[in-house]
Amino acid sequence: MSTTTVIKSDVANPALASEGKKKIEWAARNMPVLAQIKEQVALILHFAHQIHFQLKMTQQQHWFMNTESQFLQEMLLIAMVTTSI
Amino acid sequence: MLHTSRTELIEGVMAGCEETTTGVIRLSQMAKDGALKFPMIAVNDTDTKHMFDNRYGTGQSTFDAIFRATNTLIAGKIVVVAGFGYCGKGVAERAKGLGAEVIVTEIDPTKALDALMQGFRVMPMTKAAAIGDLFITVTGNRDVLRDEHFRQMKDGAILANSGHFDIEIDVAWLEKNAKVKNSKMRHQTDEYVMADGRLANLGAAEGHPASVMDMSFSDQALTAEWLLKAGKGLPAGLHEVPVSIDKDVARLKLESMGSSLDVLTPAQELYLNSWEHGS
Repeated sequence: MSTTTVIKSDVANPALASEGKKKIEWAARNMPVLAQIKEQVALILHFAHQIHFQLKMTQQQHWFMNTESQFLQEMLLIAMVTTSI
Repeated sequence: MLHTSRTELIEGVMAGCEETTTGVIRLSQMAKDGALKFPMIAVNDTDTKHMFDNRYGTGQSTFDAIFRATNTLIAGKIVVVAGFGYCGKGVAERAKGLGAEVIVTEIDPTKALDALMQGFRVMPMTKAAAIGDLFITVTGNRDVLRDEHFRQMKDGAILANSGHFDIEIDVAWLEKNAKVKNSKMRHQTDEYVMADGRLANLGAAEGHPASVMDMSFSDQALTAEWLLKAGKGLPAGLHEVPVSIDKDVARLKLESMGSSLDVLTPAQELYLNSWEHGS
């Protein structure tokens, strides 16, 4: 018997995840440069968690981050390091 | 927040990247006042960011929002664009392409002259207010549309902001002084302010197309990588992105769109790098 664990999060409606995933995949098709530099910046991922960056994300970027797309999550973790003053 | 309410975290900050025009302006002021406590990189200032994200991204997404929220026909309308930075250029160019007569308001004489020579009318907002059908603010400043302008506007004029938070249009004055407020006439549209004066292209549409954000995000990612490799020892203050990153992103984007560059012949290269040849 399988059980479902509900993770506490700020996502307003998890039921929209599959629809959102399709949007993410659509967007990723239009981001060929990010796809190309993925390996080049993979090194940053290793360090990104060790560095204190203040994340300031637009509504659009939040939308991307709240997805199951590992690739985009990783890329945006790096790409969205902008400071809030 | 790092410089105000969470200053205890500053010690652990290596550096950061700023992607917005308004943010860079603020950081520049902080650097001038000696208030910036760590290195910040002005990613916004790369050509591959502001020449494309601001211009083509804001230009397109602003009209996407206006179409969705108002279903208005742009052709034949008088569109007033406040600000002729890269965002303003993008909005004005698209308005013109859609068949509008475009008026630009500016405070910078060079930008105003540029707008004029691109075929736009240029005048102060105090004059444009009475003429426009659709007003779009993209200045990064506050109170761009205010009391003295609202009083002159045509009934039914549409107001949209794609510039800076929700203060470019003095919505608070409108709320206080409107005789009748017809809220939510359409999605994200009160009569006739879009998205409560907040960024219309985010509130009433989907923001910039992914294709243009491809460059902005790549600038951010490659700058972060550069910071890790070479950023140690950078003094607190505002710094530029290395030109090589900008050029790499442009080249990769160009290639991804199926285009390629011309190449200098050896003779051309010699000519460009020499002061002894030519006049």
